[in-house]
Amino acid sequence: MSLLNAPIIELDAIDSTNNYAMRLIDADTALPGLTITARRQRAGKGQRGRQWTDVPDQSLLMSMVTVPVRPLEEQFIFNASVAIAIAEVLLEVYEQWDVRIKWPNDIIINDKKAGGVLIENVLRGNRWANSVIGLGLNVHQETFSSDLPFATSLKIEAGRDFDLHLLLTKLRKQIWEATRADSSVMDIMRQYNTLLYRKGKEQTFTDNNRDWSAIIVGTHASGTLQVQTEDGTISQYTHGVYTWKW
Amino acid sequence: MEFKQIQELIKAINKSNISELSVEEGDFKITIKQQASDTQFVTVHQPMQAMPMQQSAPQQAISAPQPQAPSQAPAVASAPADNATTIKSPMIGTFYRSSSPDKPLFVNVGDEVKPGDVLCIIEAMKLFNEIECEVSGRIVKVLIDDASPVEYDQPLFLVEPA
Repeated sequence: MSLLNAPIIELDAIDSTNNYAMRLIDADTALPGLTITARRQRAGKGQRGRQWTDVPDQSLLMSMVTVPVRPLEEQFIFNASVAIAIAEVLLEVYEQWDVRIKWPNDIIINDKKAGGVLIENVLRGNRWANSVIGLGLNVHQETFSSDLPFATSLKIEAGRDFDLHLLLTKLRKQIWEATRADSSVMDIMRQYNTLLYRKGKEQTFTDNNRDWSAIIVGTHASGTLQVQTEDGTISQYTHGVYTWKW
Repeated sequence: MEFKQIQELIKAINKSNISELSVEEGDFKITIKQQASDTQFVTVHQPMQAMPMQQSAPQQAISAPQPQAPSQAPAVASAPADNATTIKSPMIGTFYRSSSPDKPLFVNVGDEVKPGDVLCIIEAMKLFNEIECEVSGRIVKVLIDDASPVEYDQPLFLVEPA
């Protein structure tokens, strides 16, 4: 199985590269490694007015079809290996950056969010048949609206443009290799926790009723975030239960 | 690229709001265009796009479908046959009956299903899992409420063999 044989489908505009890839899987026409990219997208939720951005190539938007080699119990490890691969590519293209992974899979550059990962899987019974790895990376935006004070782009953080095709080629290769490597769970979690955003620091969380602070200890292989609250107890947070406050 | 693949591509494009598509495979290149509809662009709802732009509310940004109206709670059409197959959850997570709150349910009681049909989504740690049916039959019971937590091996659906 070689990545070189898998086609790249370049779309001008799309609702979702992930949905598109999932449709091709449903139609049995998606080879492992098949990658969907789009030059434009509708502005995300949280953006005022849901219109398409007029300027193409602001973001790198890609979805890659893979056939996971890990057991279903290791879905978070799979996710972690993808996030690590993306961080590695960013560090390679601009080594002065402080690149981090915000639990569970946001990409942080210099304390701001530059992108995110969305993984959608197809399960046939207990068999993990396919995984679509979606990545959205802010590349050429020069500003963000004031209601997004923690967003950034590669251009903002580097002061220069990037070659989107080169970036895509590197990301595709690194993610592909990461998903096919048989690295141990321990190695992957060690790397993930080394890159973990705000590890060892105090972070505010909210359940929408109240806010509290906790020190981020690390991430467990199951995907839970381990934190130490003010009274010294260690708790495991499941994603979606509490909200991270910037 | 085989003719079947091209056909599938065209079908996929027709169902989407893609205005233009080019595929390159070695020396082979194909470009498919269709009339774009502005209305479609505005109405289509897309979690993936939300990601890079939206950091202010990360949970909601890529959030799972929200709970459905109470009318979509489990319902029983008729007493299940003794030979009904139980579809169980392959993992711990949150059970969703549609891809997003504004989308129709994947399956309802009484629906005919076949292998490959999507029954539900189970979300865990922001990873979304489409659970495909492996049997042919008819859904006779939905055993879990939309947006509820599920355990490993917890029964989700009863399917009466066709």
